Amino acid sequence: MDSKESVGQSKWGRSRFGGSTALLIILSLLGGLVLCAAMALIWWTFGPEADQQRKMLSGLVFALLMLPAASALCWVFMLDRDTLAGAVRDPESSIEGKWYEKAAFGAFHDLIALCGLGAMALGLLRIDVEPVMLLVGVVLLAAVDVLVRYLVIKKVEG
Amino acid sequence: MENNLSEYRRERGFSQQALADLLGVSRQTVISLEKGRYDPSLPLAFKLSAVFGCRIEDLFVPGEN
Repeated sequence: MDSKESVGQSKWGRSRFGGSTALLIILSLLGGLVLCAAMALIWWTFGPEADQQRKMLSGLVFALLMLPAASALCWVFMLDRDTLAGAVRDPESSIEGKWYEKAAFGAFHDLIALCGLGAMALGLLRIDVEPVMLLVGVVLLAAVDVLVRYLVIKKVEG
Repeated sequence: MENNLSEYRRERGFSQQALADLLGVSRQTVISLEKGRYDPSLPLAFKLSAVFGCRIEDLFVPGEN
């Protein structure tokens, strides 16, 4: 990883469509706002009945909570990674990419085993779980599993 | 896989960071390569041989295992 910012690189990078770093940040925030507005609209339309009575407040809170993540998502999609300070030119050949692959591979098998055992346990014990909560749990578990595995691999092999 | 990367690097007067920049990889990658903890991909091995002006076989030697 470059220790210094090379020519044309900056901490937040520039857009793949051209323009300055400031423009990229503004576009990311605007894109995040649009995404949040769309999600808030979906929430208002299809959300639980109880929230229909407080549409404005629930939509505003929802949009505010989602704004950082939505803006970050827009930034990732618009960023030209070659303009990002410290970004390596060939991440696929870097050891960090190998660690991630190993972590993701291990987490995939963990998930298969856990989902299988979990399905068996829920079926045998006749426990009803809300699908939304179940899916959120699986996503969180997968993310934490990859993170922990990555850190362990980095510690052992780094 | 054993390798002579650190010797070649020192002979050429490269720091680990300088070599990493030439290869387009992280410094940690160079450290892991030199320690023999990471076998490079074929494209990376070719890049290394190009940087040092030698053959891949000069850099990497199959280990006993």
